[in-house]
Amino acid sequence: MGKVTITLYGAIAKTAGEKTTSIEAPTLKEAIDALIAKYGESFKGRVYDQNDRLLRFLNIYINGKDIRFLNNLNTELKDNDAISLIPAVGGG
Amino acid sequence: MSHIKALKCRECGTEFPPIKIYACEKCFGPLDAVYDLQSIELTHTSFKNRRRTLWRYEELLPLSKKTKVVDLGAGFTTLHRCNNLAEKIGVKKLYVKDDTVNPTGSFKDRPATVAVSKALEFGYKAVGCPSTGNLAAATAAHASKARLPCYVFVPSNTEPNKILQAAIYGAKIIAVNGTYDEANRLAAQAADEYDWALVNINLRSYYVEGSKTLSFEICEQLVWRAPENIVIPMGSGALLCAISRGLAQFRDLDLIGETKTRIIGAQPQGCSPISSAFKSKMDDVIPVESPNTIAKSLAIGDPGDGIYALKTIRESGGFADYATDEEIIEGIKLLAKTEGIFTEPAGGVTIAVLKKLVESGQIPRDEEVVCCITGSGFKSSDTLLKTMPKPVEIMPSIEELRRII
Repeated sequence: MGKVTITLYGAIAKTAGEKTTSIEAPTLKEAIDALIAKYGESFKGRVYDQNDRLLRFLNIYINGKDIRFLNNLNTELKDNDAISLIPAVGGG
Repeated sequence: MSHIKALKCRECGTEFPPIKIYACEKCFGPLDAVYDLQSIELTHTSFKNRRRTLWRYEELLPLSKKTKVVDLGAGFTTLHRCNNLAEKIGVKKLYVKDDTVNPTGSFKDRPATVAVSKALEFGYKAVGCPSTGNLAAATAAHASKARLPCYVFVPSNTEPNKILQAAIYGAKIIAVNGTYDEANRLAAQAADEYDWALVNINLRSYYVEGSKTLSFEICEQLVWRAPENIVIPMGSGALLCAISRGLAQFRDLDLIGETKTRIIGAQPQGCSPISSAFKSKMDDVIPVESPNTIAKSLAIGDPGDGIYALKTIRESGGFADYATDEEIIEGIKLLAKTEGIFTEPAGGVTIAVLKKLVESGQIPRDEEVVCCITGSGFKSSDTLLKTMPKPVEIMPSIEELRRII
């Protein structure tokens, strides 16, 4: 269980109506669930596709590390973790 | 000038007006520029007296105001017929599109001229980019011409010449202690915090339009036809997708006939998420956490256009492959020794993959191939110096000379 800070970037911040929030959750999946409970169904559609998979073009980082190199949604959270949700990082 | 009419989501098809927007607001998918091709009247003779830069294709570039164009002369680079290299590799007809001769020494001048011009048009007060080095220099040079401050995010292990080049043009260098993907992520966060035009992030839909001019030029230089095969180095995969889109636009405008070009992607083995997905017949591109290759300009572990590059290659009947560091060095030397063209490691990747695919029979020996050489070897002199023997030193006497000749 960790008390974490979540920062939203770009269009996803617009949906939430705020840029940062704090949440207490044991895993990333539960942290996202808490965000959906807070911001509503429209936020859910900004995170998951119709098959409840993370949107392909939403990147999530914990302390700057891409969750695909951690344990994806099952990554355990600890106090003071900084989570970032960033849409469509093009680059290259 | 431009005939751009919308930005369209590549994933869900939603259209947006061509404004300051860089990802689909519904699904965050990438947005592509859509042009009103019906309103464009171009024939081969339209290009006769136009300037010899990529702005000769202005109708198919996303600028509205001619006065905002920042043109350092990017594009209209030479397409060399390479008989010596063709003979060595064993292929009938080979061309090299030599983008090392662009103003800052790489193809990145193409997207940079378009994006910095668009930044001026949108009224941005600063530009920048995350970069493996080439884009940093290209953006910085165009920014200095446009009198805009420039912020570049590069991995701290970027080749020194590339950092030097961007710094000389006056850019603020932000050396990130991490991979390119980490620099890219930081730049995306910065785009949200500062009102900067980060050309390959929040101007990406416009930026990539510059790259497609490579295929326009190749078609024009082949006297208005598309090549049979084209080999393209892949970092993010954006260049490959842009080249394919360019061929389709020229075909739709009847400037060339039906295109059957095999699109072939080349990556270094130490960072080959797209080629590996192709070779293992996967649809997903699995990111590489820690790229390890001398081809630093292609060291993008999480390629933004990876899945689209994969799809484009497959739909064209093409291939993707990778080359080891040793093969890359060999490719660089082979191109230099046979054709007098000095490429950075990305070009070595292209040549090495071409050689591999010809040897394996995937590229038929009786066909024509165009290879894209996208950056100058001088940018990577640190890496390449290590692969060359030290010159033999002699006293200035004819006897000493005779001893070594």
